[in-house]
Amino acid sequence: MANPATRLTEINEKSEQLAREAADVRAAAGGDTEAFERLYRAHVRRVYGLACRLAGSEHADEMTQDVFVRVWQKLQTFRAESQFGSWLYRLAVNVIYGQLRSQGTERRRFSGGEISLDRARARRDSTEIRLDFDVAIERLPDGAREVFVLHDVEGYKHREIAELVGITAGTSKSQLHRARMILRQHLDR
Amino acid sequence: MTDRFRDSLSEYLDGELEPDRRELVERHLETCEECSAALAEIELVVARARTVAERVPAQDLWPGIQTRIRTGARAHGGTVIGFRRRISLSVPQLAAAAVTLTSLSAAGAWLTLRAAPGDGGSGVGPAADAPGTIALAADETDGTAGNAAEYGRQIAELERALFDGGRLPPETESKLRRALVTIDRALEDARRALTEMPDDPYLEQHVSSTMQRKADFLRYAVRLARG
Repeated sequence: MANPATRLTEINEKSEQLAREAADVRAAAGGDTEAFERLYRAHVRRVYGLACRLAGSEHADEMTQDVFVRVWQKLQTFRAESQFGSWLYRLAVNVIYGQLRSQGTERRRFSGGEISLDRARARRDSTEIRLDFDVAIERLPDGAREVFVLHDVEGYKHREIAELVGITAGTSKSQLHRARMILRQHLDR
Repeated sequence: MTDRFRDSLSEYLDGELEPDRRELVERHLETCEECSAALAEIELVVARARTVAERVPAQDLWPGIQTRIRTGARAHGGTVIGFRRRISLSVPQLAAAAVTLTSLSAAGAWLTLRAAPGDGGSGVGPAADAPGTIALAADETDGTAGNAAEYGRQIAELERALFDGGRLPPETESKLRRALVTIDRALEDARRALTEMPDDPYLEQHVSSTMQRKADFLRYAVRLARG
């Protein structure tokens, strides 16, 4: 169990961080691009990772920029009922999906649900193992990848995924299971 | 490992099975090593998913974002001063509050209040007749909100100075009043939005800067009317 003093310090630091972020959000909503840049730097890695997993690495730069431009445009609609990060990542998913739909992206299909195992074997180094797992996610069949990223990585419910992606909740569940059964091959042994 | 049990493992893990189905799976797991092992691996996959590596872009994307933000401001006819957000019609409550303010600039005010054909005096030019479709120019002040009550007082005095005493030719006065109606409509919409979202700093500033513009416009009109 964590030392209570340590835990309290962590809570205080987190609170201060959230307060600073809230101040930056207010400033950016008023037009302060320096404040918006701080928000960008705090969240870009997660947004970029989301873009890689949903749209592919080749589109991730553009998608990430699209997300933050939209965030800038929508900042005045953000209400403090939720945390800024949660609001931002929801917006990111909507932006990325909107772009994919409008582009009519012809995405990769993998017959039989098999994926290439060439690069995805577990290795000793923990960072490499995480990256291998990340690569394995990107190589999942499209439908399975989308549902896995939204459900297990981003925390969406099946009902929400169904509405967003345009499938049934039952299909979302079966795609999730399919993704998990494939990915279990790429765990650290 | 039978398919029907294997296919239910994820739902079992996520707590989404009906009670009777859940019980069946649990009893099966007690005797099936293969399914038990698969379930344990799925749990690890889920745990791993929560720690996926953040990805760092190969290049800094901020310059491109910054350019697009500024370009987007200019594309709507506003300017970005000190990186301040453009005043535009993008605020939903103010979408209908387009204000014809081309005459706010010195040159514009002069052109609109020069002698127009037929009235022997000043006439307000076509800008005031145009439908209120021109978005507000960017905030040309230093961006401070100013005092709305003070602007209100100044506006009242300027309107009295301009319209009382019949200084203006009728046609000029009519055109001026029509332009002011458009501005007042925008102000009313902004005030209504502020009522719905009190303490919103953007709306507060917008109301104040719009009132300041009205005051500036009236002040210029008064100066020209007095000759």
